[in-house]
Amino acid sequence: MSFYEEEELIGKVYDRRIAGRLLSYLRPYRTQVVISVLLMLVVAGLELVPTLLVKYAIDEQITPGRTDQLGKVALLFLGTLLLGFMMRFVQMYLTWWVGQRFMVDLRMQLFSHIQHLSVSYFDRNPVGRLVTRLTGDIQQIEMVISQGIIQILTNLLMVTAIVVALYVLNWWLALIMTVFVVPLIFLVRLFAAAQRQAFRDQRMWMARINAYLNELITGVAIIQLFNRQRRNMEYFDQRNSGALEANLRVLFWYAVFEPTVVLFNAVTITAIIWVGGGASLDGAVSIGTLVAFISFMQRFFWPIRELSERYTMIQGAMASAERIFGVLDAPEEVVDSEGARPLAGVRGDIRFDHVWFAYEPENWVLKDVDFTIPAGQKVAIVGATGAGKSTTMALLSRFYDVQRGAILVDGEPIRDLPQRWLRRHVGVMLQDPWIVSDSVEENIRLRDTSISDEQVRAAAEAVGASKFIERLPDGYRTVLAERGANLSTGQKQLIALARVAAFNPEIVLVMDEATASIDPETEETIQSGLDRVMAGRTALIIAHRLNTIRAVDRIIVLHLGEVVEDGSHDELIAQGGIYARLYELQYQVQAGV
Amino acid sequence: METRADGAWRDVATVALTPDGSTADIAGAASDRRIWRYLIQYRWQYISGFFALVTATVLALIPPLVVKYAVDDIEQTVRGSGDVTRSTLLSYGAIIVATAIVESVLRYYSRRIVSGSARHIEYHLREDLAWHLLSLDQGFYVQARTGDLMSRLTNDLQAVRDFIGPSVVDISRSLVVLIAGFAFMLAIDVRLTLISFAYLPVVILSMAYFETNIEKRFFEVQEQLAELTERSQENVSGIRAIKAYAQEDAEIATFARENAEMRRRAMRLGQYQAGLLPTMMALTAGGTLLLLWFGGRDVVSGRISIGDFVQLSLVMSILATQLMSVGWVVASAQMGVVAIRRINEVLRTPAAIADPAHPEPLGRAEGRVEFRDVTVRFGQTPVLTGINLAIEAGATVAIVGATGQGKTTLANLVPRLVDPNEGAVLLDGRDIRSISLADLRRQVGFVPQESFLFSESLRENISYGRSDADDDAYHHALVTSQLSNDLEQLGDGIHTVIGERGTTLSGGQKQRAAIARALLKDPPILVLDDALSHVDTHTEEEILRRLRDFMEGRTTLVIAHRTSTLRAADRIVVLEDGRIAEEGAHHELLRRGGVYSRIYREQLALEQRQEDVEADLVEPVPEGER
Repeated sequence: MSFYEEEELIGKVYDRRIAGRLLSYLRPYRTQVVISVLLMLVVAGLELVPTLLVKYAIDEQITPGRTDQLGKVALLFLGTLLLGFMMRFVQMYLTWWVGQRFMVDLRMQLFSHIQHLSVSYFDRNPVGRLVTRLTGDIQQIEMVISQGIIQILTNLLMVTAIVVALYVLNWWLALIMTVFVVPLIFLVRLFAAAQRQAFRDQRMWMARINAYLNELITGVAIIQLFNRQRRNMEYFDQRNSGALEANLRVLFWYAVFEPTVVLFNAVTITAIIWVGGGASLDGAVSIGTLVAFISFMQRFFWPIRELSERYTMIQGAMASAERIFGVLDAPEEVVDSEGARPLAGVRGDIRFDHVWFAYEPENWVLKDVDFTIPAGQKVAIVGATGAGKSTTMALLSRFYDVQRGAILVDGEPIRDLPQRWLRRHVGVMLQDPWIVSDSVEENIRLRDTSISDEQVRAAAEAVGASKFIERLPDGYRTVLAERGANLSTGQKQLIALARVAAFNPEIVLVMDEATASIDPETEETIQSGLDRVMAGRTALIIAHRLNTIRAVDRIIVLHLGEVVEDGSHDELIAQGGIYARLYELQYQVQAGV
Repeated sequence: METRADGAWRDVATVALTPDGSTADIAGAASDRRIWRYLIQYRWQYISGFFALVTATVLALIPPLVVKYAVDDIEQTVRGSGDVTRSTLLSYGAIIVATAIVESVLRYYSRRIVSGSARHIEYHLREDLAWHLLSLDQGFYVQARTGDLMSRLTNDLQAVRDFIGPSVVDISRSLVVLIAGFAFMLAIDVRLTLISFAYLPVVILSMAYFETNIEKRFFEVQEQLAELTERSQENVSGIRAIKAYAQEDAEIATFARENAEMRRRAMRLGQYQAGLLPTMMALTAGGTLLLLWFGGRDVVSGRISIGDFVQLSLVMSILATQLMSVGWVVASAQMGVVAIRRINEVLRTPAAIADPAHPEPLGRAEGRVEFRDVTVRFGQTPVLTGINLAIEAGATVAIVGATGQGKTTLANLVPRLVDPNEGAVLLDGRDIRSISLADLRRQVGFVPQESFLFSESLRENISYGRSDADDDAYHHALVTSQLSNDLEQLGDGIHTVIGERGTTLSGGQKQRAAIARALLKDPPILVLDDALSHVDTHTEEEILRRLRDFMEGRTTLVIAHRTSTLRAADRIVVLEDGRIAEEGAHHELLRRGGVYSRIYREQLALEQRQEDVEADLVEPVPEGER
């Protein structure tokens, strides 16, 4: 899904604030990190030993024609080799381990934070963006921790160790090598910069291809109907050609790199043979030293190249970190007030005390809404789209805080109650029930471990959902498809009803606006299920079913955010206002007159 | 191929679903034809690249030989038995540099030409795939997932490109290095050569072991990542329900489990990942150790010279470096084969709706449309059954019925978005399957239920109807569709770019653009599939009024609900369960008091209610209300 999200991929390579914050996540694992770094140092040193042993063997044994120490040298060689292997393995495994811990911690922190963000945050941020934070962005950082940093340090240490060894072996020959190495470093950096640009273009073109492909596939019928295949393929070809061109550019830099290595090696070997060899004629340099120089110089090139390759990786990770911290820094807008304490029990009295509410400043959605609902009463809220019905419900769940006035439950302002405690006592039956790809059972209790299997079954039984659930292949254990794709609309609503019953709240909010066709039999079941869920509880319903509306004790009519009518069905019909007119129209439609 | 034409996509889809990919082959291996064809097309590039590669690889073994002579000369001079001078050493160096220059040029050439060809082939294949996708029918798209198709045109193609590019280069080079290295070493000493070559399989096998294991574990990690993505997606999209039931903690617990599983799998990958580099290093050093142990004694015993020893160690290191990539090549080849199969699956899916072999040419049709005993099934489920309906040229027919009764399918039959399983659709008395798709579709202005616009300018989108239209024609189309009033709001009027990176149009605006697109086409037949569902009542009436003039003299098939449209139609067809339940003029059917009269009345009541509501000047719906 990140295909279409062409967010800025390039960050700063180093930002002290972000880097510092990332490092703070390593604090719990500092022992492991320290061990890992120490091991790295040892490994870099061990790396030099084999070459030096060969040098020793050539100079002290082979050239003078002796073999007495050769066995010892070989044994030492083998020992270094095994030790190096083990230490290197442990070191790499340790870093990997730290990287994974780091990732788990950061992802959990991010996920928990997301759970506690207020609903208004989700109004503003699309789902895809948050999902990318939790997956792609975290992965990007983890890669740098478990691979990038290690590689960089290892390579740096390697280069340093080789340089030290060269100078110790023969300082003036080493000095001559430096003459070659310094321009090489510049050259590599130059190449790397060009390559990065080419890579960036390549990614950009691939993103464009993806975006256009998405369009081609989604709009294929239109293209066919309007015989536009040729034209659209021209557009596609522009992108495809762009990608080819960028690809060839990337390839060019790859292709140039290899010959550079070959030439570098040839030139250094020549220098060693000519200058070093010349000196050895005078006995100033041993043959072993020559061989060691050749062998060290061959290993010089790759670490330098790798170093520049990691650059891009770090850039990407920094950008990811910045985005993740952006989410972590988003404040929870609805927070529990200090000293918020749950009530001993809930009766279910609701009071809206002159409530004013706006999603955006001054754009009032509710204006001075004022009503009281005694415990146990069933109230329908009626009004046109945009009258403020669902907002009223959302406020009662305290998804948002009101700007003026207050909402009270049992006489206590909900602002002073712990929000999650409140929501456990205010059950909501949503219009489009949320179905997860898990068993029916878990869908009813929403993975809440405090609700037993028996309670789940009793709840389903009570609302009449058990009949269809028991017919499913695995009954309550049947795993539902994503978004409940293998259920009908009616069945999904029955699960939502069972959910309310299982949580057994004192106050129920039912969102029940007109939906697509449900067959009459299911309709009947839902209807009686609803009645049973509402029985003995304070209920607030946004209803479209006439039977439901007629069954309530009272109707509140909202119009443009204000309460305009309030009374029983009969009263309001007699009043002959908005409700009476709405009722009549609806009745006509549903009765099929 | 012919025999499995119908179910091809389904069959291959199951093949693709097999996790280990072992069922490979029925559709796969034999069918790499198209890729072969491109490889043959680029054969000279490949052949010349290969020769350059062979030469470069052999040249790479020359410097060690020169070094040998240099070392031997130096050693003898130091001992006093030789007389090498600095200028001789310099000439050795010159040979090395000269060889390296030739080798560099050849290496550069071979990589560019082979990998370059691979990238060109990738380009051609992507083009072919996109063309093929455009020719496939709706039946295919109902089953295919967009993301999966996109991945085949990008990720899979890249895997193929790596396989026929760098992998091929690496395999060839490895082979040449082995052969040439063997020859060079043989010239020095048979025993040492045999010892070294006995060691090489250890290197190759270890690398292959690591790479294949890493590949497997990596796949497991990717699977779990997909699972995490799925969980996050589910969680964030259901956040309101979670909050409503205060289930944040339960969600965190579930997520923590998945997250821990992710770590477990990543750690399994880590074992191999952490082992790879140390093993590589140890193996390379191991080669040197062998040489030191056996070769050192040989030098002392005089079997070989010290120069031979140095040459051997250099050749060994060239061999080892090259063979380190064997593991990568194995993994890349595995992925390449799977990717080729996935690409072929798409390419080999035949278009179920295609041009006839010998299409009869068609100019502008009169517009007589007839459905003769038409039955359409999706799988086993009948959608339309025994439809018989003849529409005179220029007549307007309204199709009515509840959701899922087959209205859209009926409309889709006309431009052959769907073909009947039985019976035929005729245009001016000819089976539409005898006409080329381009000719047929030129006759039909189609406005689908879901209006789709491309991320191009509004004008370009409308130009889909007719690319050579003049400004008057655009003006007319825009006025009729009532889009002209909206142009001012859009930044650049008709040149405003629409879509993700441009201006987002409202649902109603999109639908009106889709209507303008169909109008600009100036077709003899017009099909409107619930084309005004997102347009407000007032505008809808306005559009319908203007459309009526346009519909004059054109055959129109309209799926609509509005009573004014129904009243204006020459004929009404009521669909129920895929059959024609009622058919006739509006008044006739109303008098009959059947299904139609009920639907009509319900609709009438609904419209009145809407008018009432709209009269109240409804405030805009805020985000949170949705």
